[in-house]
Amino acid sequence: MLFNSIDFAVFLPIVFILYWFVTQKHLLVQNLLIVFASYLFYGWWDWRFLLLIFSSTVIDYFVGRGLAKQDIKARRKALLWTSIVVNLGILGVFKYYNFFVDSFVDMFSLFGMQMKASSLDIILPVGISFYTFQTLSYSIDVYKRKLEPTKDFIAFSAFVSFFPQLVAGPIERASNLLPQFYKKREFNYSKAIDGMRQILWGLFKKIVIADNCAEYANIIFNNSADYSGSALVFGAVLFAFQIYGDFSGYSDIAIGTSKLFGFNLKQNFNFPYFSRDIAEFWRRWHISLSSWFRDYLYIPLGGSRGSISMKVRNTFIIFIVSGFWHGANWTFVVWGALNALYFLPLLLFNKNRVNIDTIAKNRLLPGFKEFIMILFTFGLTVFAWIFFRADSMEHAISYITNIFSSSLFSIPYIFEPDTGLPILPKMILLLIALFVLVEWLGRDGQYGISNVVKIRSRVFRWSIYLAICFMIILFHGKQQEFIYFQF
Amino acid sequence: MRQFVKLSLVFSLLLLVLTVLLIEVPESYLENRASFKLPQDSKFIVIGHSHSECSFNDTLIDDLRNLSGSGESYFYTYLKTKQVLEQNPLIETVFIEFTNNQVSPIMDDWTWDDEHMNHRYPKYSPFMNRKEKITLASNNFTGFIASNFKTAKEGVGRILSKDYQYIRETPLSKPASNEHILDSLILDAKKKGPLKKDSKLSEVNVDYLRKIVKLCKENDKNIVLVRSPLHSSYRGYSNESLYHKIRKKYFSDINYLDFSSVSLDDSNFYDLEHLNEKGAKAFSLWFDAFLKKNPDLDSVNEVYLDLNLETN
Repeated sequence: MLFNSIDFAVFLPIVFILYWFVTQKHLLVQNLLIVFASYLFYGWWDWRFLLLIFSSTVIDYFVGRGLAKQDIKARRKALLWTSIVVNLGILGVFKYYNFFVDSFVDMFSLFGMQMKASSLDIILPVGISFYTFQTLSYSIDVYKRKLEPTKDFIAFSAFVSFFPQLVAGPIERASNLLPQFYKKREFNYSKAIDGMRQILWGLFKKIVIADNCAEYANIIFNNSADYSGSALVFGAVLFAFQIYGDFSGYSDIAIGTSKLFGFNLKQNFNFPYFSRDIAEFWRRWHISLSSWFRDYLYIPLGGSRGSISMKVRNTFIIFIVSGFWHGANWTFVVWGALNALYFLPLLLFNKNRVNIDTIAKNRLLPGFKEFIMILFTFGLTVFAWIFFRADSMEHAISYITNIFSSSLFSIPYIFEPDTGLPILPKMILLLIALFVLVEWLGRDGQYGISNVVKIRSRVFRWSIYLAICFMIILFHGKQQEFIYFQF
Repeated sequence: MRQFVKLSLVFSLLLLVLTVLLIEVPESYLENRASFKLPQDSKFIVIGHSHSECSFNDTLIDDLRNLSGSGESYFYTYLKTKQVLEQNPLIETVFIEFTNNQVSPIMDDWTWDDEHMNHRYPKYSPFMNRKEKITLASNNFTGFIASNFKTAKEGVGRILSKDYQYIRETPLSKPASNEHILDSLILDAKKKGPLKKDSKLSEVNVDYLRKIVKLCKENDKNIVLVRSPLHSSYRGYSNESLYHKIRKKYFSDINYLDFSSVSLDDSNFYDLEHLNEKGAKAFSLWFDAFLKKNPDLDSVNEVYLDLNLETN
C-alpha cells in the first residue's frame, strides 16, 4: 500500500479508530491490531512475501530467547551467526543472487572463459533491506547484552512489521522502538497534531516535489544522448530534488503516522542539502542507515582509530557497503566509493566534525563562505547522484561525458525529444524554490513546517495547511512509486 | 482525543467543501466556454478509437474531420459527439468506428480503469451528468477520486491559460512500420494457433454506442458504422460472431462499411490493428474518391472484402 494512495487514506483512519477506540484497554490486543494492520499493509502489495517477514520475526525472536538462556560464548556466537546468515541469506538470494551470477560470468569472460549461468526470475520483496537490518540490529544488540531479549512475541512481531516504517524506514533500533510496544500508549493531542502536520509536509514533498521532478528527470536521464551538457546538469539537479523529496517525504509520513499511534521514531533526514561539507551531509541524510552502519560495521572495524591505512580502509568499506545496500548494481558501488573519496580528506585532516550546529543559527541567511560551502557540497552530491540514478555504468559514464562538452555553458535545451515540447513548466521551478525556502526557514525544527505550531492564530495555521493541501491537489505530479521501495 | 477528532473532522469537512468547489467551479466555467468547433466545411466526421484515428488522414479527405481518440471508449466518444454535434450543426454524416474490440470487455477497462479514466475524465467531466459520474465512481471509486484531483488541476490550468479548445488539431499518424515489430507480431499470432471463440461482451460500451446512434438520429445525421483495415493475423477476430450478432441486433438499420479485409500488404501496417502513415495515405485517398462518388451515401451498405488499394 502506498502512503500517497486513496487506499491508505481509507486504511489509516480505520486503523486509528480501532486502535484508540476499540483496542485501547488491552495492550496485547492493541499490539495484535498493529501486527494485523501491518501485515495487511504489506500484503496489499504481495501477500506471498509476508512469509519472509514472518520467518525473519520467528528466527530472530528465538535467537533472542536462545541468547537469553545461553552464557557459553561459542554457543552465543553460533546463535548470532544463525540470525546473520539467515537474514543476510534471504536478502542475498532475493536481492543479490542475479548480480553475483552475472558479475562472475562477466569476470570469467574477461579471461576468455565462457560460462553459462542462468539468472533467476526473482521479484525483489519491497522493503526487504529495511526490515532485515532492523531485525539484525535486535540480534546483535541482544548478543552484545545491550538489550534485554523480549519474551513478548506479539510485541516483537509488531516491532519487526510496524507498518509506518516497514517498507522504507526509518530503520529503527530495537532499543528505541521495542520498549514502546511494552507500555500502554496514551493519546497525546499535541503529538497527534504534530504527526498530522508532518504527514502533510511529507505528502507535499513526495507528491508535489518528487513526483514532478521525477517526470522531467526521467525524460532527461532516459534520453541523455539528446540533451546538451547544461540540460544534463539540470536533469541531475532535478533528480537530487526527486530523491530527497521522495525519501525524506516517506520518512516524514512514516514518523508522522507513528506519532498518531503514540510512537516516537528517530529523525531520518535533517535538511541534508544545507550541509557545508560531505561529513555533515552524511550526518543529515538517511540518518538511521548511516548510524546503523556506523554502529554495526564502522566501529567494530576500528572506526577512525588506528593507522591512516586503517582509516582509509574502514571509510571505503562503510561507504561501498552502504552503496551496495541500495541495490545490486555497480553504479551503487561507485556511488558509495565516490562518497568515500569526498569524505576521506575531511577525515584525514580531522575536519569531519567541524560543522555540527544548525546552519546560520539565529540568522536569516548564511554567510557568503557558508553559502559557497553549501553550494559546493550540493554540487558534489548531485554529481554522485548521477551514478545512483543511471541504469548502468555505461549510462553514467556517457551522461557525465556529455555534461563535460561545449554545450555545458549553453542555455539548457529541455524539450522532449520526440515532440519538441518544453518539458519543464515554470511552475515546477517556482514550487522547488518555495520548497527550499520553507525548508530553510524551518531548518532548526524536525521537518520543514514544524515551526508552524508556534503561530498562535488557528486561522493562520489552518490557512497554511489548506494552502499545502491545495498545492498537492493542483500541482501533483504523475504518481510514482517511492524510490526506496526497491532497496 | 475528543478535541483531536472534532478538529480533524472540521478540517476534513472544510477541505472537502473547498475541494469540491475547486473541482466544480472550473467545471461549470469550462462547460460554458469549451469549444468543439470545427472548420465550416466539415460535412463528415469520424469518431472512434485508434483504429480509425490511424486510418483516416483528414488532410487527404475533403470535408472530413477525424475526431477519433486513441484508447477512447464509446462512453467518452458519446460525450464528445454530443458537444460536437451541438456546436457544428452543418455536419451531415457521422462515421463511427465499430470494430471487434469495441464489443469486448476490454472497453470496460478503457472506460474506468485508473489509467484511462485519469486521462479522459478530466477532459470530459464538465459535460457529464450525475448518472455518468456515478457509473464511473461505482466501478472504480479510488480511480474516480484521483481523476477528480486531476480534473481540478487541469481545469484550473485551462482557465489560467485560456485554453478552451477541446478538439485536437492534428490526427495521429503512426510512423512507417518497423518490420521487426510487425514480423514478430505476425509470428507471435501464428504461434498462438487458431482463434478461440470469445463471446464476452462490454454491455456499457454497446449501450453507449446505441446512445451515440440515437443522438445522431435525433440530430438528423447520416450514420455509418465503419470497421477500419485490419491485418489478417489480427487476434481480435476471436469474437467475430458476437460482433456480428450485436450489429444485427442493435444496428441492422445503420449503414455499415467493413474495410477489415481490404488487400493491403504488410508495408502498410504499423502493427496488426493500425495502419501506418503509408497505409493511411492509400486508404484515405481511396476514401476521398469514394465520398466524391457517393455524395449522398445512399448505397454504402456494403462489405468491402476484395477492395485492392493502390499503395505506391
